[in-house]
Amino acid sequence: MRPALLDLASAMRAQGHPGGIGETIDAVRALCALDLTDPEDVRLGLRTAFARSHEAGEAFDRLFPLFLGGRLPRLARAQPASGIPGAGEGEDAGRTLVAVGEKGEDSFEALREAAGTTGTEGGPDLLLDPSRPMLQAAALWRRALGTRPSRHLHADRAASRLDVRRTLRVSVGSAEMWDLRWQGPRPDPSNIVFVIDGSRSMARDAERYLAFSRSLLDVVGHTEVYLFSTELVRLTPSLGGRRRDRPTELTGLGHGFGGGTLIGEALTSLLIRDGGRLLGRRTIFVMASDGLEAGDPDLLGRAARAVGERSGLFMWLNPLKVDPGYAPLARGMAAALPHIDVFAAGESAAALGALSSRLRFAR
Amino acid sequence: MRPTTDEIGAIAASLRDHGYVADRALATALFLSLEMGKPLLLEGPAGVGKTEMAKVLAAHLGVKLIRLQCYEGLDQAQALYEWDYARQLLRIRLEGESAKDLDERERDIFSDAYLLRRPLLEAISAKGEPPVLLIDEVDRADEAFEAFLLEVLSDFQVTVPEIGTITAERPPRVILTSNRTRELGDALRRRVLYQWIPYPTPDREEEILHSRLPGLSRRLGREIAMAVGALRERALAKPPGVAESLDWARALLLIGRGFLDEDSIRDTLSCLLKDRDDVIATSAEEILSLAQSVPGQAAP
Repeated sequence: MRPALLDLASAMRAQGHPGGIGETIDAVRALCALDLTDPEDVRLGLRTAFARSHEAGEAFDRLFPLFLGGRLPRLARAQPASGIPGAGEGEDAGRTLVAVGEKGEDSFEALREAAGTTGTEGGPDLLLDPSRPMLQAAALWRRALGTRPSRHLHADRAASRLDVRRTLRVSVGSAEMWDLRWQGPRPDPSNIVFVIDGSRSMARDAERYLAFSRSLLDVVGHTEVYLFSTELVRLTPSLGGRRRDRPTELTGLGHGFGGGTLIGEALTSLLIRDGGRLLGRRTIFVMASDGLEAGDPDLLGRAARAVGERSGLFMWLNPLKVDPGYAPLARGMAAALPHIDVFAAGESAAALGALSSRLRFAR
Repeated sequence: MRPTTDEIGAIAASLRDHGYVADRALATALFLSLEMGKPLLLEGPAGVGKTEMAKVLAAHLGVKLIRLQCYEGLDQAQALYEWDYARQLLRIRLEGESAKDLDERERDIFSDAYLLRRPLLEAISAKGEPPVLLIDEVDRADEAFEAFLLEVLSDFQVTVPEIGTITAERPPRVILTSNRTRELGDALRRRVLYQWIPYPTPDREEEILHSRLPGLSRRLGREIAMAVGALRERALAKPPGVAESLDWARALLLIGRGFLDEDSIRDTLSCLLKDRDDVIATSAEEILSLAQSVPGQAAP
C-alpha cells in the first residue's frame, strides 16, 4: 500500500496540488485509524488527507479509481514519470493540468493537436506602441478604483486614533507621563489580474488588450498580466518598468501566443500557480478572450466558477460581442457565462475606458 | 486497534441527535480530525452549516465552544490577548511617585491580573477537557493573521512577552471555516485536514428540514427542498443556503401552510432571497414551478 500511496501523492503533485511528505504521512495515519475492509472509508480517509482544497478534491476523485486499479504511473523515484504529463518534482510538475484520470497522455497530446499548438519556440514578437487614448482609459479605471482605507491599523504619526498599547508601553519607562502614540488605517488598494487570449482567433484583438493592460500597469499599478494560447505566460515583468513613451517589445512568447485556445487549462494553471497570491475580495479579474475553447468546456466552467468565487469582480471582454447579432453559444463561453459579472466587448480604448463605470465589487 | 465503520456511523448518528445531518464524508473527516489531533478546515458556500458543525461537535463531545470570528483587520491583540489598559493606567496613576523601582512597577502592571484572555489564549490555556475552538470565516482575516495562526496551530502554544510561554495541556479541537472569499495559503492548508461542504442534494435537504422541524409536512418539505435546490442552480447574487431554507420552512409553518402556493411564497419570500435583484428576478410563480418539478427534469 505504501509505495502506491507515494504514487498517488506523486500524481496529485503532477496535477498541481500538494502531495508532499506531510500529506503522505497524514494518509498513512488516516489508514491506520480506519477500517481498511471498507473501500468507501479508505477513499474518504485518503481524500481527507490528500485534498486540501476543493480543486484538489476533484483531482483526487479522478485519480482514486486509477489508484485502486493499480493503474497510476509509478512514481518518478526510479525513472522520469510517464503517463501523467508533468509528473515529478519541481515547479514544472504543476503546469500540465489536463484531467489525467479520463484522458491520459495520448488524449492530452490529441487535445494539444486539436487545439493547434503551433506556437513556435522563441515565438512571434509584438510591438506595443504607447497610446494616449489607452493611458486615458487606464486613468479612468484608476479613478474608479481609488483606494479605500483598510480596517487594519498601523502606526501613523499623522493619524488621530490613540494607540493605547504603545502609549502605555512608552509611558511606563518614560519621565513624560503621557507620551502619546497614534495609529491609523493603512491603505487597502485593489488589484487587477488581466488574462489575455493570444490564440490565432484573437490575433486582431489581443494587441489592443495587451496595450490596455500595459497602460493599467503604468497608471493604476497593482496589475498582473498573463497571455495564453496553449500555455500560460506571465507578462508582467516584460511589460512593467518601461517608459510610457517608448514602445514595448515582447519576445519569446512561445506557446502563449499564436496557437490554439485552451482557456480552461490556462485559467486552472493560473489559479493553482498564483491564485492564492493574487485573488481576493478586492481583485478585478479581467479575461480577454473570444471564448472559442478547444479544450474541455467543463474544465473552463469549473475554472470560471472558481475565479468568480475568489475575486471581487469577474469581467470578460469578448471582441465578438461588438456584433449586435452575437450570442454566447460557443460551449466554452456558455460554460463560463454564469460566473461572469461584467460581459463586454472592450472593442476600443474608449469602450475600455467606459467600463470603469462598471468597476463595482460584486461580492 | 482499528475502529469499525460503526464508529464513524456513531459520530454521524450523534450529530443527527443534535440536529445536524452529516454525510459519510463529513463524519469521516471529523473522526479523523479527532483521532489524528489535527484541525479540520471546512470550506463551502455560505449557509451550508459549517459553523453549525462546530457547535454541534461541542455539544456531541460535551465540551465548551470557544469562537473566534475573523474579520478584515483582526489582529493578534483581538484574537490572543490584550492588557486591561484602563486598569493598568489607573494603577500607574494611583501609585504615583511610589518607592517601587521601574522593574517592579512593570512586573506589577503586566501580571496575569491585568491580562484579558481572547479566544485563542482562552482555548490554549483551558483546564480539563479540551474545548472546541471555532475559527470562523478565516478567509476574512488578513494574510498576516493567517501566518500568525500557523504558529498557534502548529504548537498550540503562545508567548506573552511579559509573562512567558503558555502551552496547551491538551490541544483544543479546532474547526476552521472558510467561505472562499480569499484563497487560503498552502502553509495553512498543510497543517489541517480538509472537507468541502457543498449544498445538500434535495433528498438530504429534505432530511435536514424534517430533522430540525419535525412538524413540517412531507409535501412542504419536499417542495421547499426542490425549489431551493433549483434556485441555487441559477445565477443569483445570494443563493439561498440551508439556513435560508430552514427560515423559509419555519415561516411557512408559522403561517400555517402545509404546501406551497403563490400567495404563501410571496408572503415569505424575504426569508428565502436576501438580495433586491434576486427578488426582482424571481417570481412566486417560477418558484412554485421549481418546487413542483420532478427531480432530474427541468422546470417548465
